[in-house]
Amino acid sequence: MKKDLRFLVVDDFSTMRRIIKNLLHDLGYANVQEADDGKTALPMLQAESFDVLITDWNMPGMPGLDLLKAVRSDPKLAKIPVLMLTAEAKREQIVEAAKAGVNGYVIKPFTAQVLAEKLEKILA
Amino acid sequence: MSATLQQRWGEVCVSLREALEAGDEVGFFAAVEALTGMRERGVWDSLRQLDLRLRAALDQFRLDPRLLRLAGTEMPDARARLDHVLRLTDEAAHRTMDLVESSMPLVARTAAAAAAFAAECREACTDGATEPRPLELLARLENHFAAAHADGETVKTNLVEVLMAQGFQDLSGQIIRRVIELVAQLEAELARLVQDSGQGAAENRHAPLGAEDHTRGLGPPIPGVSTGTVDGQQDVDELLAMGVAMKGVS
Repeated sequence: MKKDLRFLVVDDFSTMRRIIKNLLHDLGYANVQEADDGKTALPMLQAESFDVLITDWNMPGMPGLDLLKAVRSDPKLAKIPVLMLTAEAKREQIVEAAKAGVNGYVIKPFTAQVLAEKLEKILA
Repeated sequence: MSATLQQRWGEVCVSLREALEAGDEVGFFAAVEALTGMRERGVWDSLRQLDLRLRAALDQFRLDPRLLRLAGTEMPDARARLDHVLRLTDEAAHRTMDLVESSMPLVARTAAAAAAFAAECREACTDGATEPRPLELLARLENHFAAAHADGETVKTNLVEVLMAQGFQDLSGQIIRRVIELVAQLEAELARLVQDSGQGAAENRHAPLGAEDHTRGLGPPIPGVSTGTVDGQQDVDELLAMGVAMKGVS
């Protein structure tokens, strides 16, 4: 796995962003930036070149599903791997996220091992 | 005296004056009775109107689907949500303390052994390297470093777990946010009810409470409250694969 990949972590809870950032550091990924919702994340994605997007679903402003749809409809961002890391657990939500083009879906609470496995899968 | 006042009270006042001047006691008290009766009728009318307004407000309270839903479903759900928050914070606190407690003896053992070896090494250096002791010391040092390495790995794993346990803040925060929204809805509904009963407006409002919009997110599943949720990460992986397959078809 390339360790110089650039990550954008989007979650409205700073504690969760910190947890994900620490886990990514532990996996050897040091280049991690943060945003607190889709509205903040989208201009960052458009302005800089990120390699991976990890996003929560339930956020004020722009939710993760809307961010995912916006990313997939932007030709410059359409190919970026997106991992949804969320407590949203309704079956139809997961199917909807898949249809919207999510690459991985991890349900909270999660373990460091599950995050590592899913990342490895979407980056393969 | 205005025309209305004259029309309303004039006749009875004339009867009263005439009975007084004529010394007609029966006629006088009959006029007084008529006068107080007219006055009381006004009070009764006001009371009747107030009664009607109160009844309308109570009917509205009973019939309003939004209030019924708030009282019947949303409030018990809110209690279940807060119970779940309590469990989450309790579990996270205990998990964190368990991990810290299991890490402390490992760190203490490594630190104590390192201090003892440091003292022994200093002593061995002053004895000189020709003594057989340094070889034996090196063997024990090797064991110590192996143990320190294993303990260090365990402590590192525990620290990652401590970090993960803090995820409760995100989950409980999302749940509390939903309860706050519910309390705000209830507050608005009650304020509206109070206002309506004051104004006597008793129309029934059928606008539903904000319907659940899963595209904005529903928050963490609550045991005993949420329905149609997945059962673990494996379930998620299967659904995701299914969703991707469906996307390919459509």
